This record gives sequence, structure tokens and C-alpha cells, in this order.
Amino acid sequence: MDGERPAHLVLDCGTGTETYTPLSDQEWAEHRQALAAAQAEAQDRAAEAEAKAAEDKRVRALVDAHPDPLVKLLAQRAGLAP
Amino acid sequence: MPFTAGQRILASYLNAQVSMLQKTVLTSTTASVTFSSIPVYTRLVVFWRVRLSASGPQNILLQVDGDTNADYLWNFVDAINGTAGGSHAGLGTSSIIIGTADGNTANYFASGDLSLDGWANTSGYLTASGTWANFSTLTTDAVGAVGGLFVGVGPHSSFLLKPASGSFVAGSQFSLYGYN
Repeated sequence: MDGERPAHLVLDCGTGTETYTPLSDQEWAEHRQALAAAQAEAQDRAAEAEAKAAEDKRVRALVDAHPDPLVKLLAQRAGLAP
Repeated sequence: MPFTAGQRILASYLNAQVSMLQKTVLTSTTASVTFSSIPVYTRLVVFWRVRLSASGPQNILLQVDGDTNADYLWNFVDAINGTAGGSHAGLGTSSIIIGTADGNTANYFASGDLSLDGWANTSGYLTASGTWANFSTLTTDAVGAVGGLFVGVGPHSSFLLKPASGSFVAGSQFSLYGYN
């Protein structure tokens, strides 16, 4: 994902020219660091969403299995069941 | 200018009030895009369509005249998968957020428009306003609207767009128009 060193692009509206300047070594190091942090953050978010979905599924199964309809009604009011 | 019936219309008449100043489709990964030597127009409008190299969502940032100081403020409302939200920053930030984009999935792009009003004014600060839509998967989307202010007096000459993290990937595109 971070194999290609990006460049800064300047579009000159006067001459119509496009000039690419590769990131400096320091910018490139910072860029890769930021990419790694963003990747880790995205993985955390995905894991969190997965855990929440699993928990929601578990609660719904418990509610569905309960014999008392009042439990389902209360769960619906609380937003825990469809 | 008003036209009369039968009048011969020259291309220059049409171009006088609205001009496309620059457009590009990136062919490689690009950390920032700067429009420079921009002619004096009352208002600029830029259309953007991007995908990022970084996992997202990431903010897309605007800086004017190479100013990286705390001379910007912004305020946006958005809805992510239908859930409303928003954020703002008073004066003290080094850029204006103009939208968000993602990099999770190939073929999924974000796009938006941005107006920069007061570009040529010699008094009054530059105002920015725009909207955007960001799609990162078949089930993940965001839309929003933003307003921002650059505490700098024109005429201005350049502005830069960049993601908060990562780069714009190849295929991202930008076009800039000047309005009088």
C-alpha cells in the first residue's frame, strides 16, 4: 500500500504545466507512519463493529427465545430487538 | 453581457465570465495538489473526485496561499449511513476541512465541489463552502456540507488540497473554474 513514494503536484494555471515533486525522505517517513496509524485505526474500528454486531445478534437470539412476550416488547422499546 | 437576436457570438464573450482554469487526472499517487498562478477571478469553483491510499475516512484539507498558520476556521454537518453529525473549529486551525474520502475499496470514490468566494477581493476574508459525498463500500457512505473562512485578504494566488493522512491515488481528478 505504501510502496510507491508519492509526490506533490503543482498545477500552474498560468502556463498549464504540471510539476511533480517527490516527497522528501522526512516527508516520506512521516507519510508511512501516518498510513500505518490510519490502518491500525481502521482495523480497530472494524473489530469494534464486528464485536457489536455479534453482541447484537446474541441479544436478539436471547430475546427471541424468551417465552414471555413482555420481554420482546421491552427489548423493542429499548432498541435491542427489531 | 446581453446578446441580441442574430448577434455573432465569439468564444471570448462566453469565456469572459466563466473559464476552466485547470483540470487533471492523477496518474500516480499524489500527496497534495496545488493550483498556482491562478488568475484574478471573483470566485473559484473546484470539483474533486478522489480515492485515498490511507484507510479512512480521512478529511480532505484546504490551505490558501501556502499559509500553514492557524488562520482558518470551519464548520460542517454530515450524515454517515444516515446518522446526522457535525463538527466545527473556531479560528486556530491550519486548514479547512472540505470533505472526507476513503481508501478501503478499489473503485469507490468520494466527490465534492468547493466554492472560494472573494478570491480577488482586496478587503474581506476568503469564504469557502462546499458539499461532498463519500462512498467506501456498498454499505458505508457519508454526505456533508461545509463552510470555512480563511483569515487572509486577497487577491489570492494559490491553494492546496491534501488528505489528512495518505495520498490521492491514481485516477483521482480535479477541475478548477473561475467566475466573475
